[in-house]
Amino acid sequence: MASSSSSSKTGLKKMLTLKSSDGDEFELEESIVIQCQTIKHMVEDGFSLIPLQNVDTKTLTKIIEYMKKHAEKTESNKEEIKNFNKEFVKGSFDDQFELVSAANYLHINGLMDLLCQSIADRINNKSVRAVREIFNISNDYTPDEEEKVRDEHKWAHEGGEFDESLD
Amino acid sequence: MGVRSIIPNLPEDIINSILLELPVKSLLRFKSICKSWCCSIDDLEFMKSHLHKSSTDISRQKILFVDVVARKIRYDCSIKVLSTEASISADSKVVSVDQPDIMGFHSNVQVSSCGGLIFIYRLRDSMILWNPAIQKYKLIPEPHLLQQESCFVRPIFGFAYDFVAEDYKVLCVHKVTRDDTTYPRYLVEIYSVKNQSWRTIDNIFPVPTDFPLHVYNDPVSLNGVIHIMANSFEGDVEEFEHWVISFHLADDKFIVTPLPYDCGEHLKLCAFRDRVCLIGTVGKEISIWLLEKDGKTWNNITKFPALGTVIGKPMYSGNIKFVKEYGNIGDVICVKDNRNVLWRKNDGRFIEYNAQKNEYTEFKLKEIPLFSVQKTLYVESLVSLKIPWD
Repeated sequence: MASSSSSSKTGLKKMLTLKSSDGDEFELEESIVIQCQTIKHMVEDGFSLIPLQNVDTKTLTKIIEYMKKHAEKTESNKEEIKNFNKEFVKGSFDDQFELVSAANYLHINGLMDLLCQSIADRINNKSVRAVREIFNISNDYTPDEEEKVRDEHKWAHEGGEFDESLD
Repeated sequence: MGVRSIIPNLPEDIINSILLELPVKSLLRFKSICKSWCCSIDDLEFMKSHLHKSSTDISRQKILFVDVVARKIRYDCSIKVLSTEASISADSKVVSVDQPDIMGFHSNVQVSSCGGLIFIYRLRDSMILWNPAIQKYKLIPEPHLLQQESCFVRPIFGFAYDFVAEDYKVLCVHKVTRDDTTYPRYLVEIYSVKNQSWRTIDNIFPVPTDFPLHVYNDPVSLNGVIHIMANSFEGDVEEFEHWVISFHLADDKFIVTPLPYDCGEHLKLCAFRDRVCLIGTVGKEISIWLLEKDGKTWNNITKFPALGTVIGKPMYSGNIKFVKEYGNIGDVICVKDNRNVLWRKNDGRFIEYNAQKNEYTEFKLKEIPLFSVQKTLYVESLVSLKIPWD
């Protein structure tokens, strides 16, 4: 939709350059990049070289891969996009956290939803201990406080074994 | 661990976005992770966002079955509560839900749901407001009039959330038949959960006809409005007329909307994607209408052949024998995300109708009893009341 309106006006595809925090530059069509609200606003302000100080090359490469695929989205390739999304969220938790931080900073809503959903699905059945470790959170409860919080909803801690693995 | 600690913790807004995608039971468990997660999960705004997300996403909606099981040895009944996803399929997982310990032995219960809570009416007993996801309940006393008199027919109960007063409310419409008049009078009582009291309003229930009015049970509650279906046989034109009588909680007002004149028989009101929806059988077809945002226009969104013709059972044709054998044709549960219509037949089987391919699939869930079950769509929520639970 966006690509047809911008290219029909100029006859040429407008290109933009994204620069990662490692200094690598990526040239992309504007129509692909404007899925990202943060960049869209910068483009509207007249920028064509966009420095992204919070996004490293590894993460930016993945994000560009996502935006390219989703720019192709039509009525007929829903299944293909679905499979792409499935593969896209398969990385380690640390990779997912890097991506979700970048998606949040760049305001790519679809990617943000996808990542939050997949992280939530992956931790849903994990033990409290495993989740603390995965998110690098230290337990700031005293043993008494922790027991009190747990007792409030004891039943939620029951009903089967929770997953202790960290991946 | 050494490598991991390089990665900074995720900021609170991202953690919140992830938490919003989790089911209630996991959220309650994850309150034990640390103080900041506990604060996020207990936050009122978080509770509202979580409820909103669940209410607008059909894949997060559930269906609750309340079954009354008669016990053979003693003359009483026990109640069994089951839950499964609203988009039921043959492999849906059915779980048993822990019911409030005061549920008791009732043969006559009616359930409805709104804003993450379940409302249970029990004949001649207090009513129950219940959040099954956090396992809390609150008893609601019977309305004044119901306690005083026994000559009323069973009242109509509606349950909804008043967004203006930020309060859950129960609407009770009594039909009062007096000896000295032919036509009944209707009394309205409203319970405010926040104030924990009933309030009576006389003379506001609109009666759109001079002929006897029949008011249907099972009102539909949506966005602070309770919709009740009613009809009457108009003697002068010898036809049935139907209306939806909608009660707006915010300003205590009733509004009457006529149903489409060609809406047919076996009418059923339900809610679909934030709109009031009417389902009826016209000839050999089932029709579904949506009430437009103007609150007056009914828009026919789909028609499909009635089930009987497709699955080899006789169609309803005004034939008394058929009605005796099959009752009415059943009950729509929901319209799935893919626009397939999910149906429950009177024999307890489920039907999924694919409108695009005009195909029906029929299945049964063995955990769900075939007959006499009350059901309601609901969403799991962290909703707590402004007053203490019982």
